[in-house]
Amino acid sequence: MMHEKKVSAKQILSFRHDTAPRSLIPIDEPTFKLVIFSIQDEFFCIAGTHIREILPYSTIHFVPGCPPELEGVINIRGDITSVIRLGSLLGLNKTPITRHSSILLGIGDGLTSGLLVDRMVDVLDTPQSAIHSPATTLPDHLRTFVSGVYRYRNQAVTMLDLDLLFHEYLR
Amino acid sequence: MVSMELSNTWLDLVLFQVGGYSFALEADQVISMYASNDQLKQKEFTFFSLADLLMLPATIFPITHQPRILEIKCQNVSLLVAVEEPVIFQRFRGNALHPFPEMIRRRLCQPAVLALVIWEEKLITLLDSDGLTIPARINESELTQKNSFELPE
Repeated sequence: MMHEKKVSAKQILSFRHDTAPRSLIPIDEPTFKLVIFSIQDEFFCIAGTHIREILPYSTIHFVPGCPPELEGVINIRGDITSVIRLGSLLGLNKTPITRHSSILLGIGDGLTSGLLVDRMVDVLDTPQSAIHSPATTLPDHLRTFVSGVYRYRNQAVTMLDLDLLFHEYLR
Repeated sequence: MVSMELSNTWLDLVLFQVGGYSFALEADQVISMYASNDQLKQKEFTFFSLADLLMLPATIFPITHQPRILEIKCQNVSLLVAVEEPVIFQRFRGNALHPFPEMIRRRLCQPAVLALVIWEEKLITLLDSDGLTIPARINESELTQKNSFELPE
């Protein structure tokens, strides 16, 4: 046949590889760690840089005279750390302690405190572009310290800014 | 205060429990301890619960077993407070005493709650008896009169 050229299978494969559509996601986009957890049935996340440690629930020492959302203190290898019931700061109803309850050791606004949550869900790496702006319909009390929304298994995950959360709480 | 090596310092504390929670007072804030009400039955005294003095609901620190009565200093008067066994006198090194974390310090609104002591891996709340609040229903003259008793031999 005219103008047709016999080539090897390897040449065809090489050609197809060269012309294969490129992924639209740049592979060198920086990623960061996201710690996902739930309170009641709502999913929340905090950037991994703000979480020093994830601890199983342990008995919290009650401190008389603290506001109700401050559950008390725990002893982490000789360091005394406060524990806040995070759901109370987010305006959620108090939930009972279960075997899934966890304490996230959070750092924000120059302070460290444990954050009591109902359940740890996941820790994953995600590109910055996967975080979207929070909805404009967000309730006023959350608007101040919600920094974005992430999609996780078809579920909306509200991203919290711990610097702003601690700052607002102590204001 | 000049810098000092905390492990070279010590303080004496009286440890006790109320409603299953562990508390401590500096030993010089505790005047005496009575084994039971019997030792005080000659006179009429006003006993306080720790919950009252910390302005908390009585349900938080219910006295559950074998009460002891501590006579403690509170500003210029003395108070009788019902606590639970065991009441322990213990000497601690200075480095056993821990200030509250910043988050607690900035939200705590109870001047009698001073610090934490770690003892045998337990956390104990150190109280300052001068910071306790005498319930408003007790007037001062009544308080002084009812607590001006002679210590038993």
